[in-house]
Amino acid sequence: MVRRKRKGQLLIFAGVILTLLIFYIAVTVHNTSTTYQNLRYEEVKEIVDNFNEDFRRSLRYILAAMTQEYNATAEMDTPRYNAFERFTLWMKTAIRTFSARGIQVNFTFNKVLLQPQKLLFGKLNMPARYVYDLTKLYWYSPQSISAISANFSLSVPGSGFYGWKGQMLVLLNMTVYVNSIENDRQLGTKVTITLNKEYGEPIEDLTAKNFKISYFDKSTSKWENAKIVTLLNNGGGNYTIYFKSVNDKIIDEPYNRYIIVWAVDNRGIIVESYTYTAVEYVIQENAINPFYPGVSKPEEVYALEVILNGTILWFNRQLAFSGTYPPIPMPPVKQFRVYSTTNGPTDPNLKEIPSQVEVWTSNYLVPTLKFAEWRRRFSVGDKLVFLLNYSNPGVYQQKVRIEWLWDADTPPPTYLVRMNSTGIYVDIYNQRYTLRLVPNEGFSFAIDWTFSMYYKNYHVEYSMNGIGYIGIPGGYWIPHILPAGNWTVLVGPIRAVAYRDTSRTYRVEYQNGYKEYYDDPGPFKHTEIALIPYKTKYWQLYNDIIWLRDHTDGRYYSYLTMISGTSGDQGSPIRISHWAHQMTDLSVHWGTYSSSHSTHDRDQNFLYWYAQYNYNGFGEAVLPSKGYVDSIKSLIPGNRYEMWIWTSADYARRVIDCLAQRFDTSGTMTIRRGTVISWFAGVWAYEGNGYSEPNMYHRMFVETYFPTIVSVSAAL
Amino acid sequence: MTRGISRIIEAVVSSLLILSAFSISYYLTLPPNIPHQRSSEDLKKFGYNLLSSLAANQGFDQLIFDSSGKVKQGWEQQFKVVINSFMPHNIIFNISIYNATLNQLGFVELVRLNKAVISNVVDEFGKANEAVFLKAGENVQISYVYTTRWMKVIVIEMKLALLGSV
Repeated sequence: MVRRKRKGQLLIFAGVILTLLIFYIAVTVHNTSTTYQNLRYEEVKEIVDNFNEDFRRSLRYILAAMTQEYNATAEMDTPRYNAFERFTLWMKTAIRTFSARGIQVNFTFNKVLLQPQKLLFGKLNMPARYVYDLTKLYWYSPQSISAISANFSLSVPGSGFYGWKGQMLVLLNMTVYVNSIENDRQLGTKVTITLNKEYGEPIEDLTAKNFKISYFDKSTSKWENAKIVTLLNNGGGNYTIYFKSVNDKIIDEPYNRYIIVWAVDNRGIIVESYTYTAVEYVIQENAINPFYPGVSKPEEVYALEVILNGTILWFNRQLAFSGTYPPIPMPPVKQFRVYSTTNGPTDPNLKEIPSQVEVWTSNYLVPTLKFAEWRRRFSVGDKLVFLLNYSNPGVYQQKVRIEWLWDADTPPPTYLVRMNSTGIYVDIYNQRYTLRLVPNEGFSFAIDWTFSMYYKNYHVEYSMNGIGYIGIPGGYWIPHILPAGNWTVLVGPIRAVAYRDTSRTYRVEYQNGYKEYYDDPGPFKHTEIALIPYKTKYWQLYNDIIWLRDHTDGRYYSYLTMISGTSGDQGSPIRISHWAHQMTDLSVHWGTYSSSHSTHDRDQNFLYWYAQYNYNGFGEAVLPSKGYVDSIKSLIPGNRYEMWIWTSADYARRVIDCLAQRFDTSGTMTIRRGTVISWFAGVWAYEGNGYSEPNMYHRMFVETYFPTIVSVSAAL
Repeated sequence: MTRGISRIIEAVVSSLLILSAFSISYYLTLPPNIPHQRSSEDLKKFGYNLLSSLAANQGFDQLIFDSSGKVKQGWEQQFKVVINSFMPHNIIFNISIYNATLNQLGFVELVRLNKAVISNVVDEFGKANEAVFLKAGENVQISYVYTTRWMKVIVIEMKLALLGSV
């Protein structure tokens, strides 16, 4: 019984075991099958493909738009901001769209190496270039890159897909082979160019329409678009371009080597390359070292101006040079940096010196309201101003290197000059002195000055182009007429300018009291420009007058008069005590002022400086140019010019009048219509205690002793 | 006799157990709803491929926008014709296209670009016939992001259904 029972249970037991085994296998197979089905591999792949493709597409368009905006505006902040805005829109849209499909995405901007440090063409040391902060543009050199990059990590937790990290890079890289430039008598100038995109992939689909070449046209003194004669696609992203001038002529050496090449690929991405990276000058001073050899001259600082054709100006006069100038190219003006030596041209250390770009009229004579506009390219009318220092003993030559930086994120220079408006006055402070301008019309009365220069604890007023006099009870009022019109003041990072260009004049009459009149047009048109460089001891003054009609007035014609002393400082030790001026034999005539109305000197033998000073640490001087002296001595026939040094009746004010027509109450003078007067001068502040400083530095402002250029070269 | 009958009963019970196990296992080992799964995948692949090829050829730029980047008048009809030309006869679609913008708070807002319906099943009121989609066996929804040449980010929502798949 027991045995039978056991045998029957065995069969059932075996059946149960087999059943369980079958179930186990079936469930395992089922699980395997359903797990495979739930992977949904295909949808993930398609979504990731969409993500990848559109990410690349959006970066490509962002870079194209950014390069186009920057190329058009010469300003980087807005294109970069727009690029980030566009990227943010895409990123948020992608996150919103793909997260609904269970995808998690994160974005980062890593620093990605575009190219390592290298020596280009065996000469040009190029540092490593990276892309970061989404985009970078490295332009204005023979090898230029526009690049955009972003990193992402992507996970699809629902499908067990985690941590896919990717980097998206889009770029355009152009190399202009500088050594390939040569002239072909028929086809024009030849240049070879290579273009690659990301991962070194050559760009093969470009035509002549994808390129623009600019060359410097010597005849028009500006950059012109060349005519591309033919383009050869050599394969592998290599192109040979033949180009001629806009008039279909061969571009002469060496100007054929100074070219700018733009390329825009068919994705819309732009790069801009220059065949040279700097212009180097050796500039020699001739004003001090020849006369004071080996002496320290800390105030010998020139505010020189470079213009588009490569010439350098001082007081709008070209520095003498007999060779050919490489032109200055036209990057956005913020790219410029100027470097100079401090110990002569063989000094291996070039240090950055303050510089700025100013916008003047196309003839470089009058500043414009866009004076210090940095959102633009360097162009006709622009002046690149820099402060060149010869302070060290015995140094009379310096090397100057004008560079245009490759990184388009280069910021504009910082402002070093400050301008304040105090009440009715405009004060321009250059960190050493303050130049105060005569208030706008209606804010002052009985005006007898144009500028006032404050230095340390005192100031001198300057009356410019004062004409005639009027009789007043007990004496005379000088001058009868002054130039008028409101000043336009423009402040740049390292130089400010105040200018007027008008025919308004100011006239004082005495009819039972002073009455003042503004005549427009007055008897003459006048242009005055005052330039105030950063931290110099001088400011520069230009004056151009053209007489619009015959004018007869009392005999007095001053170019630039110094007046010091006020009603409040009579008898004070801070007052000016001495006067001095250079004589035509280069000796110095000096003397002291009195405390009452008197004339101290009437002299025709004046030359290139006149000064007022005391022995309490204050002095100022006018440093006229040769043109000033020549003009003042020839304006009125009959040798009526004179330097008149006197103390006034009112408040014993101290005066130095530099006169084309001496003050003379015995008759009248007549200035003829069409008479042109043009001069410039420097005005100098110093510590007084004599006249050694104006005597030492005055030649800086005399044309004969202007700096000269020893050599100029373009650097790769 | 009794012993033989018991043995037979035991054997029959064991066999029934094993047979029932095989029967149940058969259903477990079959891939669940193979036609359903395959057609759904195929529809999605088809939809993505269609949108991807349009994107690769800048089709969205050309169909929706003019040369200055402005939305063309009546572009929906042309868009529908193009999509229709790619569609097999048994697939129905309804497409909505949105322009993504950032609002003042920095959130994405989707503004519908198409004023007219882009669908090959339109009811008498000119609206997409949702009933047809509901009756169709397979329905898939595809989202596709596309950046235009004019830096507009658009999101394409495409609904596809396979007719007669049930």
